Amino acid sequence: MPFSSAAGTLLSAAILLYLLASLAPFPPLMRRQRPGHIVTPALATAGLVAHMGAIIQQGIAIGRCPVTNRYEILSLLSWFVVLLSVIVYVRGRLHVMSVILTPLALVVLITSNLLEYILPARPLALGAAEEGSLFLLHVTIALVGVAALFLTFASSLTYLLQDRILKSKQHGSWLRVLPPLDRCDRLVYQSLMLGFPLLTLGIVTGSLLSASRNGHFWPWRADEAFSVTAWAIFAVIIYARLARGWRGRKSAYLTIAGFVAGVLTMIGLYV
Amino acid sequence: MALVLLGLNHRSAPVAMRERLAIAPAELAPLLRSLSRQPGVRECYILSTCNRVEILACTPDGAPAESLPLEIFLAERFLAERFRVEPTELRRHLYSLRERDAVLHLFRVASGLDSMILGETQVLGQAKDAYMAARAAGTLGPVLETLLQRAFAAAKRVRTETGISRSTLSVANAAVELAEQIFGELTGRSVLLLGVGKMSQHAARHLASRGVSPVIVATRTLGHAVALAEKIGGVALPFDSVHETLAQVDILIASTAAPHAVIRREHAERAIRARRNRPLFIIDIAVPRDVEPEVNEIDNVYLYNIDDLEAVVEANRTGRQREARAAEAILQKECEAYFRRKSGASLGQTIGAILRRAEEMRSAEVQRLRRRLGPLTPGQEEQIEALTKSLMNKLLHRPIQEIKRAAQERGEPEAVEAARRYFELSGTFEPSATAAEAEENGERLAGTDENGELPAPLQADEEAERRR
Repeated sequence: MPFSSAAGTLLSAAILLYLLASLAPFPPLMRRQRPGHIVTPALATAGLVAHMGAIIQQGIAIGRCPVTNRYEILSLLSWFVVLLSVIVYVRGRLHVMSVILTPLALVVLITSNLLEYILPARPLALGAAEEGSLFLLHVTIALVGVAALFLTFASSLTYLLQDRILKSKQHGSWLRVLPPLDRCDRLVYQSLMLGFPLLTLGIVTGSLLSASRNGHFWPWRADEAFSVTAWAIFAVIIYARLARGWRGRKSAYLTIAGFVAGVLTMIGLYV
Repeated sequence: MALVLLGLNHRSAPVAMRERLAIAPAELAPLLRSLSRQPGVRECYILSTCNRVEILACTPDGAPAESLPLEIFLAERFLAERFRVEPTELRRHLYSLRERDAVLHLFRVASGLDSMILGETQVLGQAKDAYMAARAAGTLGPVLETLLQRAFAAAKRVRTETGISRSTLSVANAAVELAEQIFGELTGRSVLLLGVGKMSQHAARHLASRGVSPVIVATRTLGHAVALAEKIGGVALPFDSVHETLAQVDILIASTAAPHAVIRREHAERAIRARRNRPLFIIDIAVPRDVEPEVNEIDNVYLYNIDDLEAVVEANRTGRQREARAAEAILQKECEAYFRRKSGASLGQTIGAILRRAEEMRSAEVQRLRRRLGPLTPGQEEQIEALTKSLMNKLLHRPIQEIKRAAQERGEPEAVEAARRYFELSGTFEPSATAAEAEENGERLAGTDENGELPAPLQADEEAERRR
């Protein structure tokens, strides 16, 4: 069990709440009704509280900040992702984001949990560097950045769906479920402008960390290669948008590609 | 007491018959008053719209149910005489409903489920007007007053809980909805009208009401454009500069009489480049089309022609039919709730009346005693109050429980009748007592404890009453 027992109970509660939040929109959709807006964000918020409790408990149990192995890092990532979706809901009543992001966060949380059992336990080789404040800074920055890119992914997805509905003129009950196209587009941009600088900072602090640990700035592991690929894709998207006004469908596809590269980075953590 | 609904609508009667029975607003009040004077009519309400004429009436208490057909014939004769229609001919187009059917029909009408355009909300406004008219004419009593309020509440519930009225069934509105689906808030977005058809004017007005500004108008003859721009508060533009302007507006409504496409693919491509890929919504309602269909293939351009808009409307229409089923279920429930509450109300009213009567007796006796005893200390006053109250509550507790049990076992009318006899309640209830109040009386009584002590709220009320 990667977590202490008190933390484990809280974590189970959090997983259950996230699961309920993810499933909440389906019964109304089956009955061809509009899902209640508040249900998913409210359950997700309850899950957030339980999840935070689990993380704090774990920290107390091991006596340090619980971001020292892959599992704990991904757990914190999923917490940030759900937090962001709730913030988006509170600020703009965009419940669609929490409908997409909560299950994604749940997948991250559960797969990392499963992998912990399947793969041989391999705690990160903790040197003095990992205990230091630079490491914590690196992890926090990188995780918030990646969480923002989850939001970029979700809003790109809704953008593409809405674009397809409008172009193909297949209108039904879906028309009003998704946010307006322009709204999705703005959210893509805003989350990208939050996630990209943080990702950049995360890479910089990561390489500094690597330098202090083993003397190389850039050891070229798989995860680093992917994070640089993702970084480059996002850099191109932002440049094209600012300089050329490049936006819309193709931009959204490329954003999703960048996100997939980011996900591969996470998987790289396990390889 | 019985509820009767008599009427004709667009399905039961041709327009020729409906227009003969149409009632002008000014004639409504005298008609209502003369109807309420008819034997067997205690309360009445008349709804007259272009699609229906309906009379809702409530017969007095104690009128045996057998007299109802007579009552219907009366209403038929009443209508036939008033509007000089052959009664047999009228009867063919009239429907008459009673009790549950009448209530359900009333709810369906108010919710727009009985309307020609399913789910339209205009009829609710008309029903509310009719309610106000009946109220002003003084032909509403507690029964219809409550019933109509319930009908409006049910209609509101249908509107908020189902999507029946959410989607639009007009082409102009569909265009506005699509624009909102692309841009979100429309405030500050601009629209270019290319050519001026009736429908494009209509759409432009809808857009302007959502904050779209400026509205730019361009026609082949500048004079027309200027005239229309003035009419709808927009700006006129020479037709030649249309292609340049395309880069600056967010919405284009094209409806020229041109025999060939005015906006070709290259125009739209140039415009979208110039506007740095900000989305452009083009509505082409011209036949033949003003905009090349290939324009829809350009990224960030959304082109809808008249057929596309009609398809949106059609999809909405089928959506409404689906929603209508959910609405019917809601109304069934509301109808049941109405009857449940109605029966609960008269039981509650009876119990309320018993309690009031007992309290009157008690406080009168206390007053008499006080006059005889002269001044008392506050402590003694309190004790007398407490003693008499507890005596009253203990005495009443059992009979009231029995009344409620009887109502459950043998049906409420019988129980109410017996209770009124035992407690010598005169035949009239306070007509002002609403269902909610009466229900509260029932509730309160349910709250008395084993000693028959009344819970605090009632005591507080009694206190207040005594001070008065």
